[in-house]
Amino acid sequence: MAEPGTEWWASESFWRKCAIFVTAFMALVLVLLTFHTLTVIAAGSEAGRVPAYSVINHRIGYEFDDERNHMVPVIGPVAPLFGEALDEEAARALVDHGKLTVQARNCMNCHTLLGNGAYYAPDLTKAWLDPGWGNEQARELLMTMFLKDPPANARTFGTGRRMPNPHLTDDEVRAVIAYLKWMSAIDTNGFPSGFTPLPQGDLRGDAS
Amino acid sequence: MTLGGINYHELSFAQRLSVKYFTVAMVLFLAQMLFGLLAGAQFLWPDFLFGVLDFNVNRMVHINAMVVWMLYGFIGSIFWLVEDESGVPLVGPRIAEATFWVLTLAVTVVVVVYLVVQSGPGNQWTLWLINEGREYIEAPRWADIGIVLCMVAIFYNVAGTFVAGRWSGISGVLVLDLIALAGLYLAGMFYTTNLPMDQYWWWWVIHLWVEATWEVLVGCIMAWGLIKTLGARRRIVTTWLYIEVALMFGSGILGLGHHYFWIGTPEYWLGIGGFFSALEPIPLVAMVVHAVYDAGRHSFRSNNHPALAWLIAHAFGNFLGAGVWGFMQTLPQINMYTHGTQWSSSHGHLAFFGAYTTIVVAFIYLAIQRLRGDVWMSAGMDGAWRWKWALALLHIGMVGMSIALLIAGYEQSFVERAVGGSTWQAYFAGQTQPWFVQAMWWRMAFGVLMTAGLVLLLVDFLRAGAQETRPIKSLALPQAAAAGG
Amino acid sequence: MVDPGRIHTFAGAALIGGAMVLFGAGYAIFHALAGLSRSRRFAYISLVSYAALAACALALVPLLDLEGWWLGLIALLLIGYFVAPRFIWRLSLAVHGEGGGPPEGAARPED
Ligand code: HEC
Ligand code: HEM
Ligand code: HEM
Ligand SMILES: [Fe+2]
Repeated sequence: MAEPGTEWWASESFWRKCAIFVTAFMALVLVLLTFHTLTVIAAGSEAGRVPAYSVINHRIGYEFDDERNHMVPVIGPVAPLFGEALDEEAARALVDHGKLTVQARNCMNCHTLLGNGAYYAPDLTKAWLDPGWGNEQARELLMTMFLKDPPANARTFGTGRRMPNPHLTDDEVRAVIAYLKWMSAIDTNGFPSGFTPLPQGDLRGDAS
Repeated sequence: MTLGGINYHELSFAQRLSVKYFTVAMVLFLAQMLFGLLAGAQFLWPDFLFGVLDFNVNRMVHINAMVVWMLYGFIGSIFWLVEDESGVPLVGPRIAEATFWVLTLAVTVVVVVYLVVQSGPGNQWTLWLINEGREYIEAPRWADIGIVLCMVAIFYNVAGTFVAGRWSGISGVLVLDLIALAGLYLAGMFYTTNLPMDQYWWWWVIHLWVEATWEVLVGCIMAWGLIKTLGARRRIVTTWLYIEVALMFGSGILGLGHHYFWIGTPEYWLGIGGFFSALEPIPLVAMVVHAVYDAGRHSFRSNNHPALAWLIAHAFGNFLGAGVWGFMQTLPQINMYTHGTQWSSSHGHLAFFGAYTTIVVAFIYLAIQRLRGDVWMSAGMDGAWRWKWALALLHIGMVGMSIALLIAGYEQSFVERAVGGSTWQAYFAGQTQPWFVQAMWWRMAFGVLMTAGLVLLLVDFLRAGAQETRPIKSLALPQAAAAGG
Repeated sequence: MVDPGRIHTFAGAALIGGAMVLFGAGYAIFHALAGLSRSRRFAYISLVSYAALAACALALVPLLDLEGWWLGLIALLLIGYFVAPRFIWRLSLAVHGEGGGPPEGAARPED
């Protein structure tokens, strides 16, 4: 019903209906998309975008994919973290402890994870693959040493900007590294682009 | 009522409560600035407070203080208008009063724990008691639950008062929006191992707050303010509010997709996020166009110049900070490189300031006018230089800081993201570029300017209208009433 | 779906995108001013702003190597950003009971 002197398309009642309809429709679409997205991003789902936690038993690469035209994580042959293969449940528990530690120590107010967080320190999306760890053989040891005492192992590249010691226990360090390894295997549509991982062994061996 | 005096005891109960909310809001605003300065200083002198108050602690207090003071500003504004809009007194004054004190106590405890305890062992207890470690919503779980309970109590008062009195278009939108706003907070209250899942829901809180429900909330507050201060006609203001809701939710809800490009979520979000967030500037442009229309068509005699100046700042700041700065990085082809750099920080600062700081400050000026016995607050009143300089310093500081951060963001996205491939070394290659380093100095300088502006603003809040004895000019000016708002 | 190749142009593209939205506001504001005043100059400025907006939108295509769906997005931007400010202006008039038509004494916005 248009008010006197007002076109129907400029009337209060028309726009009230519009506001309700548009909001309801967009919310409905979002809910439907959410149902779909949640099945896709479940860890270890068919879609393969978010790997199962036991991916930490494997070598992980990051390579250019011609078909998708950007970089994608590649799950390579078995290469267990700290030489110890874990079943899915144990792997989940370890990664879970790592994530809890990262939240409890508030790492995300210095670093970004998947590009979200703070900009005071490097992005950790591919920290597991960072060339800064030298090579595959040295990596686990160097990461452990660094996280146990970052100021003593500071690099800072001339900035003097060090990471404070988060005083992680040995268990927490291992868990954080497992979490970072799992994170590096998430398919992020090619972010970060152009990242070159540290030298690693074969990615296409027997990928059991 | 004494003109120019403090008429606190002549305010209604709910409005006295508003004054309390505004007071805490401004204390937290000041704290936000101080911790921003500390965090900014650590970019320049990394050893400053190293191991004592590390960057992550300062930054957490900085952004948490911001979220909380803005919410306090909104709640204060709602209590200010609820009795007037409903026509009846607040239904639960004692609950409302108690809620304020409980909420404020909880906020204080949370901040003290952030500063003193800072972090804890990697288990659920830490998330329950100390810190959840998720940007903007770090508050520990106990506080989350407390906040939700306080929100329920506030909601009871607001909705209950409208039920007891009369409803209007504005109060209808307001109440529904409050339900959505509080409901969204629940999406950020659980823990999951799965990081993509975590960030998926985290953005529901952050994005659907600032780009949807907060925008509509300030739309309601502004609608009421326009009716009261400019004598705008209710039917027009309400229609316009509905239009803004349709445009804002129409683009903003699925605009959420611009945060789902790189977190493991499916590829269709690239298209959805790009498309809908490209539409997000439209409601902001609409607001500017409507402001131009009003300014041109009706020669309003505003009796509160500082409030009007900050309202105009809101229309333009919202457009510039959210619309322009947001759009710059919203297409995935660009966001691939700008994602998670100082570019985001530049946008975050300008958008929060332009959209929300401005409107809360404007509303506080409205409240002060009443507190001073409805005096005329003009550009020529005694001590008017204070509000003008505060406005200028805060805006020059904020625009300068955002441009400095944009330059830093350009360097960072180019050197670290695009050329260097975002490794540890590439990160520092970006951080050591001369332009980047200089930008960090400029950010600091502009931050100091802003802080000076804020101090002046707070002084003005205490003094504005104090020497004024001219009463508000009658609002029912014939031509304004005839032409409407 | 998104081509990561364009490392030298994304930042320019970002600024051009920002400029595009600014021109959008210029177009909308001057369109409104043209409707408010008798001046035709505002109407011209408004159209020039839109032309600049369109140039920015089109410049994004080569800069970002847009193809497929993304070309459709640019087309929608060109149309949407043309129509929306006009619609909003008409709505401003109509909501105020100016009947959607031009107020007496004012130049038609399209003139
Ligand atoms: C106060 C800020 C701050 C906090 C908190 C912080 N970091 Fe860091 N982090 C840094 C800085 C700065 C560097 C670079 C250090 C250097 O180059 O010496 C760094 C480097 C790193 C690196 C190596 C960089 C790379 O790209 O691989 C890792 C891994 C890391 N941090 C993990 C963590 C984890 C896990 C936490 C939480 C337990 C954490 N950080 C908390 C500041 C911080
Ligand atoms: C008042 C409204 C807005 C506010 C307060 C706001 C605030 C913010 C903040 C604080 C961030 C950084 C989040 C983080 O910490 O990671 C952010 C990110 C972002 N915003 Fe906004 N924003 C608003 C509106 C918009 C609009 C309208 C658009 C698009 C047109 C937009 C596009 C983006 C994008 C694309 C990002 C992601 C940046 C990245 O990838 O790092 N924003 N916003
Ligand atoms: C004295 C002035 C200020 C200074 C020095 C300052 C400094 C900072 C610093 C150093 C950060 C961390 C950025 C990073 O991670 O690298 C930050 C983040 C942030 N600040 Fe400020 N700030 C100031 C004022 C403000 C104001 C007034 C607002 C809003 C009203 C604001 C909103 C934010 C937001 C939203 C973030 C998070 C940005 C993101 O994650 O993208 N700040 N600020
Ligand atoms: Fe957003």
